[in-house]
Amino acid sequence: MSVNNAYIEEVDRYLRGDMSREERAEFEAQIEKNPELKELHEFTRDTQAALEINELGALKQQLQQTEDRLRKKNNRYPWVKIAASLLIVITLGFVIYQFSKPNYDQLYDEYYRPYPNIVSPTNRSSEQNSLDAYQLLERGETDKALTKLYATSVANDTVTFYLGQALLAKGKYEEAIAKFKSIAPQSTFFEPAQWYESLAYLQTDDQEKLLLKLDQIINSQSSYAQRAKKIKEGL
Amino acid sequence: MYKLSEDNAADVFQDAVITFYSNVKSGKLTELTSSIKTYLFAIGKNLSLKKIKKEKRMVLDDEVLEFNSSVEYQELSFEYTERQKTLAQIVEKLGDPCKSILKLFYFENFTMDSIAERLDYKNENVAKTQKLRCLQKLKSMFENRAINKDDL
Repeated sequence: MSVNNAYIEEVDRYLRGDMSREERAEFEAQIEKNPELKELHEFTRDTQAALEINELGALKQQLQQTEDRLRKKNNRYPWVKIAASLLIVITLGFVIYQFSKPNYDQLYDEYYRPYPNIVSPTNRSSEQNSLDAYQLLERGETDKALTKLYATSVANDTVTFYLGQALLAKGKYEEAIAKFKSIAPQSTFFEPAQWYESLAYLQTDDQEKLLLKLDQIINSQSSYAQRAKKIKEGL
Repeated sequence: MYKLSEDNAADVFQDAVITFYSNVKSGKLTELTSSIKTYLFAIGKNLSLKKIKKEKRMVLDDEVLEFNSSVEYQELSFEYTERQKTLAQIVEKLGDPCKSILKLFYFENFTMDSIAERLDYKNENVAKTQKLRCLQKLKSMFENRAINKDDL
């Protein structure tokens, strides 16, 4: 069946609600009698419904997308909140930890003094380029001193001890500790080596080893016993 | 106490907005006797109850369904026949100008005059003839599709 031009305007007016009550009743009666009109009415009515499906469907889709977008936005916040809470907890924890632990840095600054150069005291006429490692160290030229100490063919407790001194000055605490540890008890540098080892533990935050070393010094006849005791009290 | 999931609530809200839009568009709603919020809530409540009834197969008192009856609106069924759904798919394939003409006339309820103006037709009659051709085209596409479907 083709869409009949004669009936379409009537059908349209009915579907769009442009008919009066009487006209509607008349039209509905006509539908029952006229199969051609009935078919056209049904097809046009379904077309109208089809357009509604598409248009309202598009609107629905738009609303759903907005909903999804809003939910995603809201979902982002919990993570920000969790992250923020964690950050606060970590920061607070760190601050509390900093306050509760003994101030090792302060103790170190208080007690650390470079060991004097007892090997080759500088005399005023010493030329800059003829200075030996110990003199360089004394002048605070730690890098040059280290290079010289590493380069030397001499291997004895003096070299080892001053290497430890240079490393300590450079802030290489672990390496310094290793040097001080290797100083034998019969060495003249044994007592200061023990002392500087304990100071290095203040920097490595190794409380267990620090206390052990301090006790060793305190219980020995070391000239550093008094200072060790004070550090221990300061912890 | 009846509860809807968040997804269902979102769905109901969307349908309420669509119902509201449809009522305004069709001219069934010309003035608001209450705020839009109240209106949307009234529609939403009814849609929610319908949904609960449908899902839980619960029998609710008509009394419950009738609250907020002061807000009047035309319900959308949101239910269509298979034939209507098929036609909806075919309309999408129809292309312009047919898709636009049919949409403007049967969905937006524009007059033929304003459709002619909008789509640059010479006059109302040219637009009318075009609309008729479009209906014919749609019908033949629908019937051919139906035949092909039968063949399968």
